[in-house]
Amino acid sequence: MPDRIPELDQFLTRAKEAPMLPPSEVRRRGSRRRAVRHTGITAGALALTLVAGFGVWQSPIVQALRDSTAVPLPADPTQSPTESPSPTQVPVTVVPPTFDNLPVGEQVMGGPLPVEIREEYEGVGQAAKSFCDPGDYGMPTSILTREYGVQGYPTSVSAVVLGYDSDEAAAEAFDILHTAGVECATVYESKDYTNVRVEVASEAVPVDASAVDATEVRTGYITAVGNPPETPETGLWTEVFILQADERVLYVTNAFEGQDNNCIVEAGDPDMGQCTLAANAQAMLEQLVQ
Amino acid sequence: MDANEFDAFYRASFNKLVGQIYAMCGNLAEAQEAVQEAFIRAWDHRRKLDKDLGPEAWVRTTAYRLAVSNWRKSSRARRQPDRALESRGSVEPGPDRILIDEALAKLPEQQRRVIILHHLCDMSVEDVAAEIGAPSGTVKARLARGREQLARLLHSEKEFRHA
Repeated sequence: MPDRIPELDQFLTRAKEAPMLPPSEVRRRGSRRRAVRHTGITAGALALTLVAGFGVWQSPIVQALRDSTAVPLPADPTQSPTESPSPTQVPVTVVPPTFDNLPVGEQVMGGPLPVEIREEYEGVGQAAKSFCDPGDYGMPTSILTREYGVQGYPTSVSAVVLGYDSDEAAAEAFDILHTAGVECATVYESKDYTNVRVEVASEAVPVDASAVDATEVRTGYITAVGNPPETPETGLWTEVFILQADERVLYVTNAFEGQDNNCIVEAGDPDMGQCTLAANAQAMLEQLVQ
Repeated sequence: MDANEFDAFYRASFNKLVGQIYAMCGNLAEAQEAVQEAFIRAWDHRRKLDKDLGPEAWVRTTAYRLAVSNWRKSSRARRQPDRALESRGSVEPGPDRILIDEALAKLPEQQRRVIILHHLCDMSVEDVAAEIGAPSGTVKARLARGREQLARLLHSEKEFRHA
């Protein structure tokens, strides 16, 4: 039996008087949720298709990400990866995103070499984008993916634009993706990576929401690294950028092997410390809402 | 789980789960709302309840995620969650209540959650690890750091208030 911390018992005491609905009302509302899920057609929305696109990661370490299944958020019973998205009535004002809303190459990869678009497809593909990818994107009504690389190097960056039928649905997805990034260390550690570090710099990547036609705008920026058990002298870096603009979410992942990563984001730094994704946050926002 | 079993489970667990989520998120009203919604979803997903985690863990995890999601929306709207000083008519919170509320609020979310699951929900380290989806070693580390910080916060707060 764990040791008690007596001060915590106050919370149980205070909660004793919390009002609760009658059980019959709870069941009625739960049954109504089930009815809404199984009836109705989504008008004008793209069908959710999972096309067998995949990234060509040549690195044996990053290749392992292809071979492993996408790690669902631990204990996330609110969303089941096997369920179909809720068919809901889509307001006529919701316009699904297109491939034009995905970032161009230079917005996601820096350096002197030209950036190539390796693949574009509907759906998320079969491989997890990174250890920080929960494989759960809420209930999108459309998913489009673009993968990038530079000549002679493996594909390392993927950008996914997700369309939802409401700002709230997009916000929930943002939270899922952001939480997965924040808790990414658990995935690294579960695979016996050492020296795992996760840095959350979401607050340090500002965007000017007034410059675009969007009400709900949020950014998330998380970097993670760990030493693989097979090659502890190197690191597997994961850089995640998440952007919500109303009913759309952009999810960009950069996963690569290396001994160091010169990208350091600090608040107030206009150059965003050589971090290409963070430095192009505003451009990607404008791309997302165009 | 049929209707009778669900009703019995709901009546037996509701207030306890509200208390647990309240401890995790710091707001009684939001905890009550989150747990209520979690039970509604539990009936919707009743066929899944008996698998893996068990019904109570399923509801608690769902409620926790709802509470966290609502808290983040509130933060975006620049409304600070009223962690410590909820108004309940003319009842003023005592000093000990403010103490534990403020101390918990200062813990990182991950440490706070495992502290509550282990020390308030009476779950073993292994059960906590299964519920949050982390290795046992990670849970032990968060518990150790969380307890150390909580003890320091409670001790320093008491000294400050009794100076």
